[in-house]
Amino acid sequence: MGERIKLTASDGFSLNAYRAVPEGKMRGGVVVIQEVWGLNNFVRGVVDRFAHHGYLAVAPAMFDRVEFGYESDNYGQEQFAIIGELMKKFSHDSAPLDIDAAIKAAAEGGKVGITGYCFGGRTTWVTASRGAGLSAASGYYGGGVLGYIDLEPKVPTEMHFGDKDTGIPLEQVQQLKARYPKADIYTYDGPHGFCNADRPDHFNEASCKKASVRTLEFFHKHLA
Amino acid sequence: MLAVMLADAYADRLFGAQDTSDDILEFRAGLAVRSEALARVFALVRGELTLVTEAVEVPISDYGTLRVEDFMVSLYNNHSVQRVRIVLPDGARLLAHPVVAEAIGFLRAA
Repeated sequence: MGERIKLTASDGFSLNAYRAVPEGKMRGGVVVIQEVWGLNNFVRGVVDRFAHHGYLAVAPAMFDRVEFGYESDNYGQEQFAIIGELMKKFSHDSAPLDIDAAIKAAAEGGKVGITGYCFGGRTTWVTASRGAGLSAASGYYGGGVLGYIDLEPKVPTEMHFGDKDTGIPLEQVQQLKARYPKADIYTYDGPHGFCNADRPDHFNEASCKKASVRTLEFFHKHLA
Repeated sequence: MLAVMLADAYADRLFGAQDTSDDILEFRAGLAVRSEALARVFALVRGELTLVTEAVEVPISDYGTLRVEDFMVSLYNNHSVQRVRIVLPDGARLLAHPVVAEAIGFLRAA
């Protein structure tokens, strides 16, 4: 359904992206931020799904400045060292430029919301704290909560966490909830990655469906 | 620490099950001589060594050995994970789990 495209950031850097355009009237735009595995099958599927629901969806390749074109459908331990190295080199200073380029591209569909999973969930919150021309943010199991808890979202924001996520202690989720009572912070039955159908050992279909419907309703409300 | 204390108590149980020594301290000292790991377990229970939980940086070369949970944690916490370590008298650190596992393995074979 979607297609691979190139985006140009404001500093001239050209990065990969995946975009899907809905048929018929557009409800708005959605930026989808990847997990640490790049623009893989799962992320492209999410982009396609948003297009199916009427959104012009764009996913920027967040690691392109570190390793151009990195993506993996292999979730095994053999990827950990590669991703660890990518994350070490990853610049949080230049990342907003790539996200802003994706927001600009998605804005052709109307008001823009941002969503993302894992690394993308964290990035969703961080970007919401910049405002960045967004109208809503809906992030999934963004790791390292204490690293972003001081960043107050400037747009309506919701977050979805798994109650069996051993990488994100529920105490931290509760802290986030207490700190931002206006943000909708939900917990679901499931581990980290409960919304990734490509990882059967993590996927919880019922929880993912519930969270995904919430995201759609959230975007319908704020991007209309 | 519970595992440490259980391992320590198991040494006493071994003493009760043998008939070559009638001095429990001597028996335990003999075990400690044969297993440095068990000696450290005993020292932990005596309070001569301590356990701490602290952030430990993971070298990239070790990423392939991480459990997925630790992998995720490390990515968002400056490439470090929480580890339980034994603080030696000179301040040096030892990962606690391998030491306790080695001590338990020794006791099971004794």
